[in-house]
Amino acid sequence: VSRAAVGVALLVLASPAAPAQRVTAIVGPQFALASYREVASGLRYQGSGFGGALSARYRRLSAEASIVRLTLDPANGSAATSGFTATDVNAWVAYDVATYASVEAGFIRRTADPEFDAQSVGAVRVGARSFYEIGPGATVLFRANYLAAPKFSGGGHAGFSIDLGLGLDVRLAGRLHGTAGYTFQRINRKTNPGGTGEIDAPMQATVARVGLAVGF
Amino acid sequence: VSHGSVDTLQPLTSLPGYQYLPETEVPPQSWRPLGLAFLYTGGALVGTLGLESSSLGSSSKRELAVVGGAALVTGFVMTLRKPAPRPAAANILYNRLLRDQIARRNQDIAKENVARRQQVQLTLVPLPKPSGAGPR
Repeated sequence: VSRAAVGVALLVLASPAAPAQRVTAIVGPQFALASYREVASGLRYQGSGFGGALSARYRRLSAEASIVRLTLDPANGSAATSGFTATDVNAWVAYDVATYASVEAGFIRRTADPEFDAQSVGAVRVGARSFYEIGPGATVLFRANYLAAPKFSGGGHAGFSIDLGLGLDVRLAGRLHGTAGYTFQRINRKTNPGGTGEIDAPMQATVARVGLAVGF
Repeated sequence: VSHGSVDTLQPLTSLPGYQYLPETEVPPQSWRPLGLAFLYTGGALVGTLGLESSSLGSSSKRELAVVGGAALVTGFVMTLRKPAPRPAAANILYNRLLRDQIARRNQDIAKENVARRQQVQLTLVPLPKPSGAGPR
């Protein structure tokens, strides 16, 4: 699914007809803040990192992708003894079904390093988003995605996983844009360690990304 | 043979009493941008609060404060800014009708001018006989 999503995004950008049909794209670096909790309230982390984001639009079709590398350390009062580094990759392809609404699909992949310090997770995204131009060159969006078929590095399954997002894109001057994005993610992971019975091992993450981008 | 002058009609560029209207209009300033920023940020806040896991406790609001704050500031700035001109559909339609009407009137004028030119007064004046030429 991830390859398909990236393929569609590249197809949109590389299409020979694209210049005549006004493909718009913005790309730029981002600074990120994040917090992450896992299994119990005592296991919590906070941190920051850097990454980048790309978004493109061609008529009713749009695509977004972001990657951010986060350094997460145990938060104050956390039971965790060491931090870890997480790489968060997200991609969406969306189709406008109304003036202010799109349906979208994509994927998420978050990997932890060292591998066993936190769960790595991958899932397919399916959902919708609403966007509105609140002023010349300023657009806000709100998205809700269901995370389908999540896979975890430590095994287990999740019947309910959701991802909410708030986004902002402001054209600051000419081709220069300011971008911001917020993501709240809850995954109700259940696991069965040693076959002793299923236990809850939920995951919850919030990420804020703020950056600059150049429009094409 | 000589012909008289013809009073032809000039083509119209406008209709008396009717003027073209501006095809864009600046919408009145409103609190809508800030309201929408509140709506979207509120949606994210309510969603976050509603979906927090009870076993994991309350999540950090630092991230939402950063992005939600940016959205609200943007909404406030957009509220204060002069709104961008937008197409005025009614005026565009009115101007199109006016142009069509003027074009139709000009076609009528062109037809009438052709008819007027066909009704021009012709004057036939016999030429004087050349000297020396007489009946033989």
